[in-house]
Amino acid sequence: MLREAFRLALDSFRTNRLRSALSLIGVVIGVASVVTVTSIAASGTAYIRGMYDQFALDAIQVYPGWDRGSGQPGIVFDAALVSDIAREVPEVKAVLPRSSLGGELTAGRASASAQISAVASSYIAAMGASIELGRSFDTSDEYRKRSVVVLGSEIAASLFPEGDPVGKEVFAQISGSTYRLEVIGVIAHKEAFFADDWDRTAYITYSYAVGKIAADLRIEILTVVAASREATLKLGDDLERFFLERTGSPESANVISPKKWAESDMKVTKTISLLLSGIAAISLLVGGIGIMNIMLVSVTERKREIGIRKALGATPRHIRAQFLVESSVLTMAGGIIGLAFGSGLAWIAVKSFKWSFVASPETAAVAFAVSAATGIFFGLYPAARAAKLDPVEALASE
Amino acid sequence: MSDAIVLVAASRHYAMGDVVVKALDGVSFAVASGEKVAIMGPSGSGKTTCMHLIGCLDRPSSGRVLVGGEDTAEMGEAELASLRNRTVGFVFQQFHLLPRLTIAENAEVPLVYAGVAPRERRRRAKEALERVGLGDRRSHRPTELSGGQRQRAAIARALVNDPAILLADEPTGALDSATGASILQLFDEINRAGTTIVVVTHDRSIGDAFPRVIRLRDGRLEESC
Ligand SMILES: Nc1ncnc2c1ncn2[C@@H]1O[C@H](COP(=O)(O)OP(=O)(O)O)[C@@H](O)[C@H]1O
Ligand SMILES: [Mg+2]
Repeated sequence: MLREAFRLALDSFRTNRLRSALSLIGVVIGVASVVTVTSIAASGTAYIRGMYDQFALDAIQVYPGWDRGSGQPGIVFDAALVSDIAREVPEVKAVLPRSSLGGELTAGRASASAQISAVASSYIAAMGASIELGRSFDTSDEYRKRSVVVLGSEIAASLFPEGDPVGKEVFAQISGSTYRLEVIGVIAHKEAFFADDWDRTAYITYSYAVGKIAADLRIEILTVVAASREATLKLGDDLERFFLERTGSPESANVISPKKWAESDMKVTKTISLLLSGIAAISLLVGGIGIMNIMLVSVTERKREIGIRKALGATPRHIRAQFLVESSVLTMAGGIIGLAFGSGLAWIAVKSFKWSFVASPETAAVAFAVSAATGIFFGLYPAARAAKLDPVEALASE
Repeated sequence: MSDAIVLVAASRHYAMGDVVVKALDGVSFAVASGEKVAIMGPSGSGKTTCMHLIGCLDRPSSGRVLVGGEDTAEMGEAELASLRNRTVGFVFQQFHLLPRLTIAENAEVPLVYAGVAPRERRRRAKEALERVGLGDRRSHRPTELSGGQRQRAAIARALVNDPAILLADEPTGALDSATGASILQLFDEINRAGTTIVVVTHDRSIGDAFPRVIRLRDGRLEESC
């Protein structure tokens, strides 16, 4: 029965191509808007999820802000601050200091200027970087202030073009002194994010840097690790409140959580989504009324056909199904066109945000659901009119 | 022999503003199963109205109409449609074929509503069209056929669900007399195979060839034999 109704529906479009196409414009625009919204949302979600994976989201980084008036740092990061954060802010697993030392590394005849970063032993893992060769720091490296270094992948390649640097020695020139370091590991390639240019940085332990290189080393960035991934978002807020209470200024410290960062990007898309949702609602309404109109015309034009079908044994239910299928096939055709248009639009938008476009099956499902629902909803009344026609009267019509 | 059709004081009144048009007014008769009957009368005498009642397209305003032993007066739309589908085949003066479908597809329509599977539908439509001599025209559309062929296609469609009763309203009205005669001959064959046939006509020369004629005048029975 349904298959028959589908055939009839396709048949009736073939005979009324232009009229059907025109009545579809509203539905096409509506579905295109819906598709654009869901596509952008899907791509944005994928983008955020990517950020979660790329940057360990249970870590939040904080660096001092600048006081506008004095031109001085808004707050000094020191050991006391580190222990206060660990004690006062809830759900903190660790507070990891980090500082940078400029310098030059040499190994044999090869040399490379590098950022040398002094970090806590757990920093590399906490930031979600992975080790490609050898190992990362352990607590005894830190405790014993061992002269060991973990190299970023590009530095490792330029200092040791012939291969595995693990166990080899490098010399670091920092402020006129030379330090001999043993390479214990190489970090796998990782996109630079905020302070860490992962591929071009050599990491040493913070305790080694303070103990053996510069006793007065300032903490540049604190990495606060949350007790759990779920706690991270709230941790960002808690840290902001902590610094505000401590200094009385919201600008004393900058709290960088990748999630917040991603969400500020999402704000733009929220506005776009809201706008498009409005357009979708209006055009689906207008399109739906257009469909209702065309279906009413169709019912009137095909009175005699309805009469004949009833004479041959069609029940009101059969007739209703025929017209409902017809209106929803019509709107679903509009849905397919809308899906194509909307995907194109979303693709352009997503590319302009520099995200990667995600073709989600949900988007197609939404397009079909929305268009079928429009067809069924606005087809109900014409279909009911057709089903209610008196067979004798319908047969007698021209 | 059981009665295929029974009308007991069946009336069909139309309210037209203040006046009531009595299209059919207390008509009683019975048609036995396997009979071949003509309903005759001048234009406006109620023949078509009578046929609509027999064909379950309409219900009496008062009185009773029994088709295949079932009382139509109490039935709902869906029940009526199903009774129509199972027991009655219609043949109209204007053929009433669906123009966009081939005649094979036209012939399948009653089977679609009877819930018959596509394969079986095709087989039975083919059989019905062969029975009326259109076996080689199955994929033609109605507009590609002559009037006589169209009426044969309509008859095939009426017969496809194997109804007990075949109803024809002025079936030769749109045909020339030779073609009309061949259609009447086809009815004869169908009747001999066991189908009850009721033909509505205002044409005396056609009615005279029927073994039994029910005459209507102004919505009332004139005489019956
Ligand atoms: N739907 C209707 N509304 C009002 N009057 C009708 C309707 N159908 C038929 N009639 C009237 O009922 C009478 C019988 O009509 P009909 O059964 O078509 O006659 P016949 O087929 O014998 O020409 C006519 O006077 C006709 O005008
Ligand atoms: Mg008539």
